[in-house]
Amino acid sequence: MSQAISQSMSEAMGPTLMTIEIMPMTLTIQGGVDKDGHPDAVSEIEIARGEIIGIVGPTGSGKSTLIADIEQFALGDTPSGRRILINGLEPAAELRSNPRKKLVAQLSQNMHFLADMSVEEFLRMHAKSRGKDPGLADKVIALANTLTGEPVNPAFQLTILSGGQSRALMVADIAVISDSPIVLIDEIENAGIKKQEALRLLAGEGKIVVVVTHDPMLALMASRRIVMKNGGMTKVISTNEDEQRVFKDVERVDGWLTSLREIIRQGEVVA
Amino acid sequence: MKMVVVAGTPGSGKTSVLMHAVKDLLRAGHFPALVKIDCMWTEDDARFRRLQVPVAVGLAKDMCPDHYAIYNFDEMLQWAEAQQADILLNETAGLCLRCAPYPDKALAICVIDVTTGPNSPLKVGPLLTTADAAVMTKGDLVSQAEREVFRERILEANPGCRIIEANGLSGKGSAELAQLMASWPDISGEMVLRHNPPLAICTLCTGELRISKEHHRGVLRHLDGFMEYTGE
Repeated sequence: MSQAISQSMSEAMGPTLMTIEIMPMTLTIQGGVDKDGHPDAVSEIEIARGEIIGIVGPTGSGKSTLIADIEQFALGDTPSGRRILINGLEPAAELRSNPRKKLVAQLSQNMHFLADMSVEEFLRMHAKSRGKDPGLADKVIALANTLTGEPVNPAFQLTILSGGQSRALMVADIAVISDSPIVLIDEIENAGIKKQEALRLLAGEGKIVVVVTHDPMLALMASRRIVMKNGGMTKVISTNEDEQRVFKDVERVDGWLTSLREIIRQGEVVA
Repeated sequence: MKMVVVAGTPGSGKTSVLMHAVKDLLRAGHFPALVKIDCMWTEDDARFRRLQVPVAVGLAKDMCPDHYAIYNFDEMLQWAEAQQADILLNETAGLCLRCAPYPDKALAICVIDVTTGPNSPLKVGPLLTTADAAVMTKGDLVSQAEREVFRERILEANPGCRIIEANGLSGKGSAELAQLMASWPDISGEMVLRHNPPLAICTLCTGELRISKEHHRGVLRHLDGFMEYTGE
């Protein structure tokens, strides 16, 4: 029955992208409306493979909503009315929901796990749900432990992990198990983990990366950034040479602050 | 007439998800009518009435709410026909997880809350295993990995079911749900339940208050799993 339905749905939707074998080369966001129902000033934006694009704006301006639109491949059926196209086509229903065919990996703002399972049991089950080798669980834990202070043990219950440990595990899980061509990242700077390394891990090679951020360094690592206001996409800024000069300074300052943070965390005295 | 039975544990978001689906059905030109079944009290009917659709409430009081719903399906259908509806939506109270009040020809939907953890799909029983579709709610409160593990667990419990990720606050997933409702075949002829209700009855069902074993008769199950019939 469900097969018949998905078939009739895809027939009704016209040409669709059916298989994962098609590598997403572009992700297109077609504008919808803001919180007051006014059309997005940005009517369309196309993001190519290998690009990191930022989403910026005050809290409550609709950044996470835009990320959610992309995650579920909105087809004008979300409150924003936006549409998401892959290689210029509407993705089929199967690609929207089946984790084995999913094109999108998402790091949300959630800092904790609610599942009452051990770290290892959970990761093995997640690998299975994505059609991957459950043995990848060990690799995820090893990688997470390069991002966080106190190591995560495979036998730990997920629910006792700290916010930083949980986030590190989520990042490593995305890099290893949910290795998808489109990566969505929501405020990684709040994680209490090494943000630049985490972003590099998540971005991988040749992916489409969308980063929601308030962090100047992460925002300037993006080649373009979408500016949100009152739920709408108001403009797209391309970074320029002046900004990239500032980026060098920001990177230096951030490196310095990170080293100070580590010294203090390790119980040493700042010299 | 199409019939949709929406079940799920209390607080899982049945009403919120249904409200969004009703809006989508209205937009698509359908005429849904809604019957809300609850145990003692409800104010959900007021929420549904704001959508300008016919709403009826049934309170099961002393009767098991699922048995009450099943016993009254004929009356619900007659009422919906009198309202000139083309889809009857029945939201159940959803409590003991032993009954599954799904007629074979209705669309059976189980609403299940992701934050209850990945073991909950295994605990829900026939409510989930005999459903046509599982609607996962509150997914925004957990990571993508947790949603995917939850999904896997639903498929372990009910391999053939369609899964819809929905959000009762934002309305995510409701368009897909409404489309599924609208595509379901009309009901016809005699309907039967998909799953049998619990076995027999015991003296507690008929009002016995005393606890000691000697006062009880009927088909009874011991803590160690032994089942026996005591009585005439």
